Order: sequence, then C-alpha cells, then structure tokens
Amino acid sequence: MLAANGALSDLIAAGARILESACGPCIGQGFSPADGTVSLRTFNRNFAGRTGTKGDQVYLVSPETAVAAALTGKITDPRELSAQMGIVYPKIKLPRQFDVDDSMIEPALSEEKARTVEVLRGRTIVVPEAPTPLPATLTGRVLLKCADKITTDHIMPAGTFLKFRSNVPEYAKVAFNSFNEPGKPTFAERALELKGKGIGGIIVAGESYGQGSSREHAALCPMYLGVRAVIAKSIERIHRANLINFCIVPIQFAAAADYDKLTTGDELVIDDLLGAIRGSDTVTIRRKDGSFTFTGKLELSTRDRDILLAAGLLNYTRQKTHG
Amino acid sequence: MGKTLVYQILEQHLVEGRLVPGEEIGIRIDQTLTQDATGTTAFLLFESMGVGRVRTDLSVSYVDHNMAGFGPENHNDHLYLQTVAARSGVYHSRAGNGICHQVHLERFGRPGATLLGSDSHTPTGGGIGMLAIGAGGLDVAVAMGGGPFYLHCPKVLGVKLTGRLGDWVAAKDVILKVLSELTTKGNVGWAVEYFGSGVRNLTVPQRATITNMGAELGVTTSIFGSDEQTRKFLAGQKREQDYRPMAAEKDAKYDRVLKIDLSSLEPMAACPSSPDNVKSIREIAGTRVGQVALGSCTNSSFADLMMAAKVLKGRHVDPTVEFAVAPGSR
Repeated sequence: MLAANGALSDLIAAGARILESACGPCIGQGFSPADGTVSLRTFNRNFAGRTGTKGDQVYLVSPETAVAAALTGKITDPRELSAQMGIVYPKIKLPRQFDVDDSMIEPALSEEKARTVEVLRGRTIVVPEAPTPLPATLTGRVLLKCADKITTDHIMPAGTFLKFRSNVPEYAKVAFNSFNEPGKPTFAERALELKGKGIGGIIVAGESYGQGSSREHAALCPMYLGVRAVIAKSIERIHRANLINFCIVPIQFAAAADYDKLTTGDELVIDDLLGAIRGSDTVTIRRKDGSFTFTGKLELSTRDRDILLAAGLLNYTRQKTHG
Repeated sequence: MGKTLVYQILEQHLVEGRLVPGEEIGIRIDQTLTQDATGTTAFLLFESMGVGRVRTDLSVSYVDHNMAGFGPENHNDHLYLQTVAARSGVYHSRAGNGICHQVHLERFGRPGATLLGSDSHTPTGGGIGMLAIGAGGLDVAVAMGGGPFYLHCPKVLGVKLTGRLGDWVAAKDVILKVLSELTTKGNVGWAVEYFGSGVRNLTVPQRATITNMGAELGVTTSIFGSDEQTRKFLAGQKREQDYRPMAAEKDAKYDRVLKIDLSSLEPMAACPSSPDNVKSIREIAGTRVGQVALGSCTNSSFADLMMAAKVLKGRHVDPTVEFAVAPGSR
C-alpha cells in the first residue's frame, strides 16, 4: 500500500534503508549497531547483545520518537518537532479499505489435492524418530553423571549449531558437547552404541537439572539417543515437562546422598518400571551387580503418567483423538 | 458476578479442568500459527503424530525469521514448510509476505477465537479480541492434531484506560507505561485485559502494539474487547463476516486493576537493556543516536509507516544516523 500511495518513495528519498518485510534486526538478523553507539528501535526487546553487538545500548520507543531522532540525530521529544521544525502531527486515519492482496499466501488445499503433494525434505530436514514405549523393566547404563545447575545449553548447545534444529540426528551429535573429551567417544556415540544393544541410557544429575531456555531439543535429542531416564536431585519445571513429553522418565533421589554413590558407566535396573508409573510414587533402582539399591521418587500427575505410558505426548494425543 | 472477557473465551473453549485460577485446564484451540525458526520442529513433530491433516479451524505457517540464507539450511527449511503445509491442510505465508503476527492480525484473526502460536509474541492477536497464546513447538503440533492446550488458569488483571492519546504520543507509550508499573517479573499466571472508555479511541493496530509487547510482562496473554473499531478494521480487510462484538460483562470483577489516563501519557523509552527500564523521553533527550530502526511485529502497521513517511516527506535523515525501515506486511 505504501508503494502505491507514494509513501515508500518519500521514505527512500529521506534516506531510509528499506529492509525486507520480515523480522530482520528485531531477532538479530542484521543491522547491528556500531560499538559504543546508541540505537533507537520501535521493537519489543532490548536484552543485552540481542542486536549482535556486545555492549549495545538499545532504547525501545514509539515510531514518533524514532522518527524525531532520525531527523535530529539525538533523542528528541517528538512533540518538539512542531515547535522546532514546524511539523504538524500527521494524524493517520486507517483506510476504509486496505489493499488486500493474498497472492503470497497459499491457501490450505483440499484433502484430495493435499494427498498428491510431495513434501520436500532437503538433506538438512530429517523427521525425528518417535519415542518407543517404555520397557516393563528398564535395564540401563549411566551415560553421564553431571553436577548441579546443568542448563539446556549444556544439554543442547545453541549458537552456530542452531541451524541444525530441523535435523535431530545431526543436532544430537553435539548433545552434552561441553562434557566430551578429545580422543574419546562422544556422549552421542556412546549413547547410540547402547541404543543399538537395547540398553537404555540414564543421566544422573545434581540440583536444578535442565534450567534455562525451554528448548524442546534438550529432551528431543536425548530421546533420539536412547535416553530413557534422568535421575537427579531436582529437575526444573519446564524441562521436566519436556522430558515427559518425549517419554524420558524424570526421577528424583529420595536421599540426595545416593547421588554420591553412582558413577558414569554403572549398570542400573528398575524392576517393574511400568507398574510404578501406573500407580506408585517411588521406584526401586538397583545396581545390576547387586552392590547397591536405592529409592527414586516419581512426582507425576495422572496426566504425566498417562503420557509416559502412551510413549510420549504425541502418541498420547493421537490415541486420545483417535479414541 | 460478571465474567471477564478472558473467562468468557476460556469457558467457551474449556475441555478439561475447572476455571479456578492456578488449576490446570485444557482448552480447544481454533487457530494455530508457526514461524520458520520454530515451525520446522513443530511440523516434523506433527508429521510423527501421523494424523495427516490438521484438525484446527485454521493453521497458518509463516516464513519470516531465518531469511539470511548463509548456507542451504534456511532455504531448505522454507521449501519443507511450504510443501508440508500443502500436504497437511495448512495455509502458507511465503518469505517476503510479512511478519507472522501482523499478517495474522490483518488476514486471519477472529474475535472470540483461541490462537496458539510457536512464538512468544503471539498475543498480538489480542488486539482483535482473540485469546492468543505463545507456546512451544510440540504444544502447537499437538493443537494442530486436535489435542487441547494445557495451561494454568490465569488470574485477570484489568487495565482501565480513559481519555485519548495526545499528538505525538503513541500506543507504544501505553505499553511502556504498563511495563514501568508491572515490570517484567512476577506476572506469571496472569492475563491482562484492557477495558474502559479510552479503549474505543484506539484502533486495532494500536491495540495490537499493546498486546504484542505485553509478552514482555511475562503474562499468559493480553486482550482487548471487540467493538466498532474492530468491525471497521475487519471491514477494511474485507472480512466483516468475522466480526463479533466481545466485552467483559458489566459487573466483571478483576483480580487487580491498573488505571491509565491516556491523555496524561507522554513519549517514553525502555532504556538499555530491559523492556521495563522505562524513562520519559524528556529525561534522556539530547543523547546522540547512531541508528534508528522502524519496524517489527510491535510497530510496523500502516499508520506507523504512513506517519513516518509524512513527517519525513521532503526532509532528510540526519547524516549521523542510519535509518532502517522493515515493514510488517506488504
């Protein structure tokens, strides 16, 4: 509409750089400010570094205040434009009729037509495996014992790896990346080897496991790698829900001191895991060699239990909607 | 005791639980939106559900986030999203068409409906009277498959608006005022509902600026009623048939009320580096500026850009400033 009524030409003539119609700088995609300079934006977030410049100074303002600064080079009360420059406030009425153009929106196809569509999956698009049902008795091995405050960034690093989010097998390769040591098999390699042998992966952790960003890949990728349980002193709320959704059992130590007795590589057995999920608030976990037995707490709502028994939220929803 | 608008819509969509603040409830989702950065995972998970076709009234997939295209991943994502949408009975808004929230408001938003989006600024739809909530990709995948969305039933904070905005004062200054009062912390479990005689003086895009940035409060969602302004906006979009008046009942009781006189507001800014670090422009006037950006899902509506064009017509941007404009829709 702005192109048709000439407003776009006015903006360009005034020296505006026209970016494409998208999120752009608001999500850090370009237009990062120079070091030590002030940036005025009409956006909604100004968290430090979001622009892509370390130490950025972003002020979130109205379009009126933004334009005033564009004209004067400094933060200016837009009401001064009338006094200083004789600009009358342009009251914009919404048009009675917008130029409606849906040519860039492809409507939903009929069922018949939809069936003929081939879904294009470039090599970077990979459908993640669905979780498999939990075994009646879980035989597993501790893949990793980690300390307190493990964040979802520790579990699945972001940054340059983020573009692999459409490719779980690729992205999963960097699971627990910061724990991998050069020359030794990675977490992912060890996990996939166990998965191939039908042995479940188990993660042992301290307090506040899974804090930070709510990213689902922190459960989705471990699920792909065959992790079936997390035993921790405590698990953060959102991550706990994500674990359940991807059919990984969240277990808390009944006695925090039991954490000290476990090490990476321990073979653990949980007898009648399914029975416990159905109706108990605790599970008994034993080392396979019989040298140690301890109690884990299951803090699960009825819906949590149903989701775990259905092999994850997607299966649960499918079963419910298909009756 | 009358019902708030939030509770009216929740009640009409309730499938599980009781409408008591803090209790877990399941609601039916009428519409979903996804954007490319979270959408590929949402659709991959949706495909694994094996339900084939979406079971919502309407689902729209937008491409607006990862556009830079360094390496093949971004474009591969776009092609996947375009074809999986076609396969699944989903609308697809192509790269270049605009920002999901603005396009959705203009072309698809419907008063009284529920919208679940895999983006935190989904509450933009509250500007047209939708109960619009941001969620994770899996939640949206489940909603596309016909499953309910589970949330904790919110408490409702009423913001009573009176008066009318002065010249050069904007809807952005309203939400900045709200942020300065409520801050970005401690609002989890609340929904914000705007009411009062000042509401009728705000257009739908102005309301959407307010509900969009309401996300920064950390609340479940923000919403306005649907009235003559809404009808005019929908008529202008050739969608008057989607209009339906919506308002809180007369004696509706809010869990907390905040009062704002629009006539008393002045231009404000959220200073570095938090949306609730709000000062009046008068306090910070004179600070040198290196760049200015106009756009985003908060502030790139027709009126925002037209105002800028009219002010700048025949004038020039200060030589010390780089000025960028990213329109929210075509």
